[in-house]
Parts: sequence; C-alpha cells; structure tokens
Amino acid sequence: MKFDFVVLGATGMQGKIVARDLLENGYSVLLCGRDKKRADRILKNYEKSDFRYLDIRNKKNAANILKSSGADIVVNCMEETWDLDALNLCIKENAHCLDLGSQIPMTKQQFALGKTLKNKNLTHITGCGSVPGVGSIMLRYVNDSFDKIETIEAGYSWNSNMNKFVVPFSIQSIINEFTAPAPIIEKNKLIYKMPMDSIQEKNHRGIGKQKEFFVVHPEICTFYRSFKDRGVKNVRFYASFPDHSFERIKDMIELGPGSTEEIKFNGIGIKPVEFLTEVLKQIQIPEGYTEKENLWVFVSGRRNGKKKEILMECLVPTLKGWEDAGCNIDTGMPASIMAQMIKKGIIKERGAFAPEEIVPPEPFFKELRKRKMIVMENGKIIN
Amino acid sequence: MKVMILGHGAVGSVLVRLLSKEKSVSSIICGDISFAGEKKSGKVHFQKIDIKNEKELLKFFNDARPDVVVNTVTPHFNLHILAICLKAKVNYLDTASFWELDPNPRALVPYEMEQMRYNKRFRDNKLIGLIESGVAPGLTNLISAECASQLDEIDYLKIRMAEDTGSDKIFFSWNKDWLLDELATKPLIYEKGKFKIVESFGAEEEFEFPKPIGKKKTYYFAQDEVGSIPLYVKTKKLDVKIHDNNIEASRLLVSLGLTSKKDIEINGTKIKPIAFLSKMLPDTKPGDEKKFPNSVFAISIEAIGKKSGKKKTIKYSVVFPNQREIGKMRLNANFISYPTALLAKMFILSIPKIKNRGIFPPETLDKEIRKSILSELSKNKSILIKKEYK
Repeated sequence: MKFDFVVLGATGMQGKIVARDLLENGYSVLLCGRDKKRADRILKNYEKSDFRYLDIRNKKNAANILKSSGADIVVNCMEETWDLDALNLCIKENAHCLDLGSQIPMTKQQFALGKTLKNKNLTHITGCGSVPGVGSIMLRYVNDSFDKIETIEAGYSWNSNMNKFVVPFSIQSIINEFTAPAPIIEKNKLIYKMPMDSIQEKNHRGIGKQKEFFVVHPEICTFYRSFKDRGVKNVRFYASFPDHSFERIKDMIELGPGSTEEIKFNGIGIKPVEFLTEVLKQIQIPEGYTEKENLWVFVSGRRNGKKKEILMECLVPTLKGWEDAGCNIDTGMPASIMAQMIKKGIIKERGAFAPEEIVPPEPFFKELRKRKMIVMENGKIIN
Repeated sequence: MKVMILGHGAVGSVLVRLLSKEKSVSSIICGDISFAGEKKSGKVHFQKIDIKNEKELLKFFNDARPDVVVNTVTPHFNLHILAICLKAKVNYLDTASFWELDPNPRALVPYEMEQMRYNKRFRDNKLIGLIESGVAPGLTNLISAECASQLDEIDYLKIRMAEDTGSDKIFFSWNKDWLLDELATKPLIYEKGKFKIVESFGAEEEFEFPKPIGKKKTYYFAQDEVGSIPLYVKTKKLDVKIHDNNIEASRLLVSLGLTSKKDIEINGTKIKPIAFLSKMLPDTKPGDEKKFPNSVFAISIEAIGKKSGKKKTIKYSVVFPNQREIGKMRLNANFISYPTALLAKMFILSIPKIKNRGIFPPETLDKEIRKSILSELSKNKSILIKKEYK
C-alpha cells in the first residue's frame, strides 16, 4: 500500500494526534515509531493506516521505510533532538518535511539546508505546532497591520479542571523550558534570563492569573529572523503553568529525573530524562479531566505614525472524542493542517521555513475553527 | 550477654556504640561486608563478613555463639539470616519485615510477616525470634499493647508518626532502597475485623503531636505494625498515618510511577523504575544530617475505647531528641537511626527475660518486660514521654 503521509514518532503524544487528524481527513498514513502497542487503537480504527518499527538511529532502515511508503510528506513528531536527522532523511528520500520545532542551534542548522531543499523542490517547515506554529501564523496575520513592528511577545498559558498532574507535553521539553537559560532579544541584543528568576503573575483570557516566566523557544530566533527588516527590536517568549503542575515540575527537577547526564545501570547508559519520559507514558488521564489553553502573540509597533498594539489569541478547548489528547490538539492538529496544505498545493514555497514565512493565515485559521480552536484579534473572534 | 550485630550501617553502627556502654553486655561482634578485615576495640570485635555466603555466616555464628543475632541489614535478608540462626541454634532479632504481598490469596493479612514461616521451627528448637523490634515498628507495638492493658476494649487504635526535618528539601534519613520500597508499598489498615489495602497518602488528618512538632497533616503510610498488632491486641480499627516534610516529593514519586516495580523498556532494556530511581537519587552521606539540625522524630499512639463501660482515650506520645541534641551524643546517629537503635538495644537487653519461644513481635512481650522497657525509656532525660488519659 502506498501512503499519503508518513508520521515519525507516531506512537507519542503528538504523533498520534497528527496521524489521527490526517486519517480523519481521509488520507492514508504510515505510522512509524518504536512501540506499536501505543498505536494499536489508531491502527484498529482506521483502515488506511499501518505501522512500521522505525528507529531514526538506524538510518538505512529508516530510509527503506520512507522509500517504500510512497509518501512525499513526512510529519516528524519525534523528540526535537532528532529533527535534523529527520530532515536529512527527508532530503535524501525526496520528501517534504514538517516538524514541531527544536532548539535554536538546530533550527539554524535546518535553515542552513534551505538552498538544498529548494534545489530538490522540497519544503521544510519547522515549528508546526502550537507555539511555534499557531502563534507564528497569528504573527504573520497581523504583520500587514503595522508599518513597523517593535516588540513581539508570545507564549502559552494553560490550565486543567483538576489539580492532578498530567504530563502536558514532552517532559524533556518542559524540563528544558524550566531550566535552560532563556534567550530574549532586548533592543536588538540577545541576552539570557534564568526562567525561575523571571517569574511574574499575568492574566490570560480563559485561563486567569498564573505564574509566567521566560523560556527558551525557537521563536526568539525565527521571529527575529522573519521580522527584523520590519524594525523588530524586542522578542520575548513566555510559558505559563497552573500552580499544581508548576510545583510538581519543579520538584521533579530537584529530585533529578530530568537530568540528561547518563547513568550506568546494569552496564547500559540511561539518561534520567529518558527514564522519566518512559515512566510518564504509563500515567493515565483521569476520567473527566479537561484542559484549556491560550496561545497568544502580542505585537507592538506603529501604524501611520501612531502607536499600535494587537493581541492575537488562540483559545483551545479539550475536544470531545479527543479527551486523552487534552490541549495537545493545538500542536498535533496544526502540524496535520500544514502537512495537508502542502499536499493540496496551498503552500507552494520550497526551501526551509518557519510557519510565519509561508503559511497563509486565513485558510489555516478556518481549519483551526473546524477543530473548535478560536482565533481572536484584540478580543474579537476572526475565524 | 554476647550480642552479634549483622550490618554496620545507620542503625548497626549506632547500636554497637549504645550496647558497648551496657555493663550487662560482655561482648559485641559486628559483621559487615564493608570492613577491611578484623579489628578489636574494647569489647567490640569487628569482622568482615559476607552475609550472603551461607557457609561463612554459619561459621561466624558458630564461632561466636552469641546470645542473640541482631539483623540490622535490609529486610530482604530476613529469611536467609533466620535460616542460618536456626541451623546454628541462636536467637534472632530484627527491626522490620520485608512485608511483600502474601502469595496465599486467602491469607488473613495481605502482607506477610515472612519471619513467621520460622515460628514452629524456632519454637521446637526453643529459640527466640523477636521481630520488628526497633522504634516503629517496635515501640509503637509495645505502647499499643500497653494501651490495651489499660482499657477493657479499644474501638480505634491510632498510630501517628512525625518525621519533621523542618525543611522541604529531600533528605533520606535512612536506607534509601528501604524507604523507596516503603513508598512503593500501599498502606494497610484494619477495620471491622478485616485488613484492607488502601491508597498511599490518603485519609488526610490533622493530628496534634507534642511540642515542638504541634499540629501536622498526616497521611496513610505503609508500616509493618498494622499487619501484626490486630493479631495480638484486640481492636476494632487500626491505622498508621505519618507526617513527613518530604510527603509532597514522596507523593510525586509514587504518583508518577517512579516507584513502580513493573518492568518498563528503555533503550531495549527492561528495568524496574524503582531500581533506576534508587540509582539516580543521591545517597545520604554521613554528615548530611547536620544540614537539618532541628529534625525530630515522634510517635503518638492514641487508643479510643472503653473502661468500665465509659468512653476513655489514652494517648502516649514519645518525642525523641532533635538532630542537634543527638549530634552532641557523638554516636554518628541521625534523628531516625538513634531512636531505632535505642529501642533495638532495649529489646536486645530484654532477651534473657523472655519466656516465649518461637517468632513474635513486641506486642506479645509480657507485662513486666513491657513495663521495664517503658520505664527505661522514661529515665532517658533527652526523651519526652507524654501520657494523656481522658
């Protein structure tokens, strides 16, 4: 069987959402991962799906699987550390590639492959999820409302209806956000702030007041890259967690299971964060548990000589029938939407991009609304 | 009295120092795998011994012929050591059970006091096996029996403990593997004549401990004494709840599945999360206890029942000295190892007076021995004992 799409890391949280969204839109999907059991429900419920064991470290095997799939679009939902490997695989096998975003150094390495991709008539979009992703496209949407953009702030804020710890997204990414020095651009200078030293209280629509802090996010790099010729001087990214989750994550970090330093166990090197990721996969979502999220971008600049500010927000609920995904639908579904836009020829540009450069906002927001995600501009619904 | 101590860890090392001051103890032999060889210091003889080596351990017992072998190593070795004590025909004492789920689905107590498998053989050989004889379990069992002796019936026996370091920083006050194993074990309660396994950290209750601890939130915790006390002390209900500054961290570890004993696969290898967690968490180093000078351990046993037809409540509380005070005793002890070793010492010294034979926990000791231990404890000026009767 030939497939429309290949999803890498399809047995993880985001991968399953991407695969399912593509399948529900009528496409055929080859799910690739290392734990077939976790994909069983999708494989059982969707005829146009199949599974292959794929470990990206086995390059030959990965290439064979991609070649034989017949797919020309790959959505990579593996942990961000493998994004460059996935992109190189796609380039070798002539497939378009989308991923959910990685750290700034890797993002730069991906952009450096832009010419190679263009020459092969391929598209790579990095950061196709929520933020980066939805947030990036909201920023593109408001670009034309300004003559000059001075400050871009973006972030996410979420909460749940129960004070029970549920892993909101990749624990590796979460721990990194809590601990890594956060780059921000202040007056065109790159400076670093420690997340836990930058905590402030902020109110976000639909969520309420929470602790918010600077975190390392690729938008610092991509937004500045994409909009510096518009006069951008300041770029900041914030994360906001509900208290019950914030405190548990801090405890986890203090206890040590978030460490990336390998420990020898029975002769094998294991990173505590890998161990934690596997253990957390066993956590069941409690019955009745729901989440909501606010993805936001605040832009300040000038229009006709006057100061102008726009707050863009995407409000994300928990969807019926997708309860086990929580608010992760705002990461998996946008990636699926963008992959479909490449398939349909709506996105035609070739090279290496961030979403704000090439994804047309209106059709994208329309697809979000189909999935009950509302986009607002200064408090007014626009989709 | 000749005492052999297996293990020179947190409890064993303190026990050696405490026993060496006792006139009634003529000789102490301490065996541990960490020793370089043999060394004598006063009446204490230290010897390298691999307790896993059955032949070596049997020779160790037979050469020394102690009045009692005290097992202060982890409960994983209880049955192994009991077997060799039986072969050598020496008395035995330990401070905790391994306490795994009983393989017999019809067992009265879901968790097994595995040492009881040797009860008949010890009795037939006229040997004493005094088990769970530290502070908790141990003193808690003893005081429970004491409360029962003062009431006609007990409706509810509450055992409450406080391990208060005064800080929310993680600190393993005793053997890390042992502690993680306790966290991984769901607590047991006794009510309406039945034992029941309950969820960890459940049934939050504010409980009044004596000063300096005061009112603290306590939660269900897995403790051996629940599995034995109802078998010997008549009560309608019994549970153990604990206050611990690390409760949130403990709750996190359990809720995330990090203390699970079920295999998961990482990098193609099957590992038990609890085993990796133990490897990953830092060991408590000697001297770490000094970072928490106000750490204090206390137990309270509250028996609600009837006497002469009237509702009565007896509450015994014991507050042990804090870490700063223990430091002055120069025992290299912490706020948990000191009370554990102190009570183990008292139980050891009672061995010559015990008439029972077989395997039994402290609540079965007769009234004279019980009173003697409690009296000895009350003479210790660094320990606060409070009795309330209403």
